[in-house]
Amino acid sequence: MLRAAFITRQVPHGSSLARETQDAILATSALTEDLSVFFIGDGVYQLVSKQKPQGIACRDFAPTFGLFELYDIENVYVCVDSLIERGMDDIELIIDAERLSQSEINQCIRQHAIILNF
Amino acid sequence: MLHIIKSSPFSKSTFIDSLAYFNDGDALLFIQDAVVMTASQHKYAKILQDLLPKISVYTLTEDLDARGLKCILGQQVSYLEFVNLTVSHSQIQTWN
Repeated sequence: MLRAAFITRQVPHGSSLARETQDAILATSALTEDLSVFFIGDGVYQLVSKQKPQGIACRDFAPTFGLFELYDIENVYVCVDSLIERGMDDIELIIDAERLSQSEINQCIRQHAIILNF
Repeated sequence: MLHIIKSSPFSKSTFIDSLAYFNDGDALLFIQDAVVMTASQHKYAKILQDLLPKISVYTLTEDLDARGLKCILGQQVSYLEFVNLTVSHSQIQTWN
């Protein structure tokens, strides 16, 4: 089975891309269990807990990351360098993603045959 | 002049590009993904801090709340205050 990596780099709610990436990850999980998700760059903002996007008429999709475990998506990583660069390394994340450095994530991505970067 | 900035400084160079066009007395309003500018300490927030108080800094509350973020720099404004800012400034430019 080919391993697939999903890389997500968008701040949530400014566009629908972050939400649609989550949809794509959940849909793909039906086809393979060998799937990894990497939150890098501005993508780390997607993991901030207690988002209230109802005020700007967006769907609160962050709690849905909690479904990853149920869908057997266990390889979920967040870039600690991205968190530090944004002054966000001490904030509460909505899921318990593994914290990896930029270079560790780079290494990890290279172990996947399919790489989808959003 | 009121400058409205809409993009994250980490993903696009909008904020850096706009820097040279700020004059004393201007106001900056961060909306949409640009609310990350005032939500935590980082290199762009530091640049912004150095502009205070010659430049007024505002961030839209609804966009902060949407992302679970809190404003630590300048003032938070509601949609209504956003409208008031656009009325009280004769010149406005939006930086995409």
